[in-house]
Amino acid sequence: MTNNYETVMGLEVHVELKTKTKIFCNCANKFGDKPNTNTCPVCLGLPGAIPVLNEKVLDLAVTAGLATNCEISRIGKQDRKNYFYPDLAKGYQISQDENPICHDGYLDIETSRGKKRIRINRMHIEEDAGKLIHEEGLGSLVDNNRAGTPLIEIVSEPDLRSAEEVLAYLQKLRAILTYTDVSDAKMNEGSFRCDVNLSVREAGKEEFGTRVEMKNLNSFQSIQRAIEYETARHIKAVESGEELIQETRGYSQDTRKTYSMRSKEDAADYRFIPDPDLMPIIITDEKIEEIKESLPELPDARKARYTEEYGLSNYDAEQLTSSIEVATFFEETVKNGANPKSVANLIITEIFRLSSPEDFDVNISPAAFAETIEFVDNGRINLGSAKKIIEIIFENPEKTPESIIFEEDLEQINDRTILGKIIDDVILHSKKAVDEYRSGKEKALQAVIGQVMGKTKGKANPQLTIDILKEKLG
Amino acid sequence: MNIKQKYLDYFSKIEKENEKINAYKTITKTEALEALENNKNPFPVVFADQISTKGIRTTANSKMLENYIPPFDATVVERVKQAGGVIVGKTITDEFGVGETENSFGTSAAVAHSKNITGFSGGYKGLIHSGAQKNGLFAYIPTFGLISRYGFISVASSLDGIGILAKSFANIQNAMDIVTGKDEKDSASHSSDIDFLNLEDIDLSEQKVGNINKFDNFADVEELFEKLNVPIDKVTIKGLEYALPAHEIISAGEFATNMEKYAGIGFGHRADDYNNVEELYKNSRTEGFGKAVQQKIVFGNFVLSEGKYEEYYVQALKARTMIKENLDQELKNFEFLIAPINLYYATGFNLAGLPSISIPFGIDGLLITTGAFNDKRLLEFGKKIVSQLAGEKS
Ligand SMILES: [Zn+2]
Repeated sequence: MTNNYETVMGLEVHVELKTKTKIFCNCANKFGDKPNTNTCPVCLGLPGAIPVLNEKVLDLAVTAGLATNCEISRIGKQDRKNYFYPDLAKGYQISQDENPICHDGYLDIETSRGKKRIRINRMHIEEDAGKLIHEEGLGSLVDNNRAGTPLIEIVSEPDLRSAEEVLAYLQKLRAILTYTDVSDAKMNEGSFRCDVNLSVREAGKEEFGTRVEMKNLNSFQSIQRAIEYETARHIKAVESGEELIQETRGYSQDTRKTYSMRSKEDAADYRFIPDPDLMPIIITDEKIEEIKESLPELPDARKARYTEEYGLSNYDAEQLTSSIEVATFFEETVKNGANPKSVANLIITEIFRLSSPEDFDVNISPAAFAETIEFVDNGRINLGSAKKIIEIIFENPEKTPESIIFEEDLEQINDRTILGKIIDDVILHSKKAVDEYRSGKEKALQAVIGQVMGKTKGKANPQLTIDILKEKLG
Repeated sequence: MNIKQKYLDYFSKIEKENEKINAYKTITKTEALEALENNKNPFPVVFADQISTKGIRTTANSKMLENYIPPFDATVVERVKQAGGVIVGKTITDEFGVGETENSFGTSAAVAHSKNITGFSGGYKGLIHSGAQKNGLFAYIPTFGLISRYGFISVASSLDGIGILAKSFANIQNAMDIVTGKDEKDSASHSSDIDFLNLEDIDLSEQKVGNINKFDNFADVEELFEKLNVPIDKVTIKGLEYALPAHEIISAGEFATNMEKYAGIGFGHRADDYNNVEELYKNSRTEGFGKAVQQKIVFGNFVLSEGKYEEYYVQALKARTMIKENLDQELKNFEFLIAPINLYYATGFNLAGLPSISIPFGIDGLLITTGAFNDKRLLEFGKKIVSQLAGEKS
């Protein structure tokens, strides 16, 4: 049934820029300080205080634009977007209506269905609003520390067709922004926020279905679930002939459902006007050249290098280049002498389980990680013990792999004679599984291996165990 | 008599007479006496109550800001204070520069009612020239960008140059010397290395002057120029008739958005009665703004609204560009353009961001403009006329 429909999505991503000061004043651009400490007349919107554009914001926006294959505008302006909201001190947000800094770019993504190009419509600079805090007994309070935080909004074309593509696009975008040091791009801290525009149409149709905009999606998981929920809701509506309305919807992590926030009819007329406090933006060819030359190696280039240099698969290379922190950790580990493929494998299976690539917070040094991997590769410990070592170091970073092997008695049993005796014993006591295996049930062997691992506290060399078992039962 | 006594005398005089002349919103006696301490070069100044003064309430003559005390000085105020300026008071303006008032020309009245005060007020619409003419003062609005707008409570930001009012040319020169120049807090501000203190003596007969007067009430000035041996040619600035309507639309649009910040949240008047945030905005604004201000906001939001923006605002911007181009064009043929003091011309100069000086004379006064950043020559020209005028009289 689902195959008869196509989900069409475009994304609006807001990214907080990594500048020392805010976009229009000299206040520190910092997350998590005491409320209203990083404020001044300009970001409080006091009468007579006027903004002056922080040039660094332009540099970072151009950097992001060049890194996503965008055209860069030579002349730009900033516009006021007028609306009333208590967190918006001036009563308008300074953004860009026409003439965004960057436009017409693209990103290449990699999914299980292969490679795909997602077009970027535009990228513009704007200021963030303050934050409303609801305090019991005090009502709503405004913290203006965030007011005036520089943002870029990156708007994609409606080229995305599945949650998998959306996540791949976001991951690639995040990677580029962190590589170029444009942003921390942390979803959990709000420095990387995504709104999804979604509509569903019957496969093969040209015209779009009714579009909804989904907001408040603050994790990759929420985005995936919201897209799945909303797609199902649209299909159901289309099939039952129910009318969908164009609206803005939120997503609740508790109910795992989307809900209506406001309909199109409530949409404000923003009365855009070029901001008369600010001067036109001028970006010279020299500036663009200068930034182009300073661009670091980008995720796609790094990915290509990983597949060529280290023989990694496209998928593995994509995973490892998904953020600068992951890539740096990978390369540092390899530099410490570990086998690249083993490193890739263990990062993707084990490290990512302990810390997601998005907020890669790894409590093990590349040197210790490399040492652990070498112990696996030279047969001193098995993979299960390696995982145990990593977990222990995550909890107790002062420990070394060597000390853990000793303390936890993880030395792998590679001795054929010792292992043979244990296996003989297991075979004697696992008659049922042994019989099943002998009668052709391959799977039953797993139970026997499990017994061997149990008896050796997981220290048996897995390959050697299989070899011996097959000999003895064969 | 010592300097402090002079100020005390002035304050006792003005405290009695202010009710009659309607010059001051706030008289800052305490602050002034403080500023006199250890001041080597004190000189008296007034700021329109639309220019932010740290620690001194700044109301824009509106109920909305009745109790607003800025935590910072406008750049002009900061520079004037640094140079020794002693603020004697904040002067009455139109509400937010456009609304109802007891006196549109409070700054002029304060300057006129003193011996030596220099006044600073918004150059919006060139209105201060009318106040100067009425009160027998000189008013000077420099090229847009020569004086920082930072701290001036915006009317229409692109038209908000600050102007100077004085009884003497020396005070205008002194003020220009102090307040012009680049300000990091206003990206429209320009650096300036003009020496305003030393003006050259010029020969009036060698100047190229165009007379852009369209109406026939300018005979007195024309006669004067003939007497002073200044050749003038009649010139028509095409499109100048669109200056007022274009000014009305552009200023309303900018004004409406500049006024969005007054909503009863962070500062300014806050209504007592409201049930939700919508009502808080609505009631605070309805109570805080006078009728004319509200009307200008409504008109401004109309010209910015979807569908009307192209029809009104964009057209007005086109008219502005045309007027500026036509003025610039004529200013290639004539270094100075003269006209009577009248909003018809003053709004045109304001739209084009050109400097202008007004000299009180005859029925309608004399308004002179020149090319952008040719401020020093304009002052030299004006000063020479004034000195000749003084010679005529004596
Ligand atoms: Zn600030």
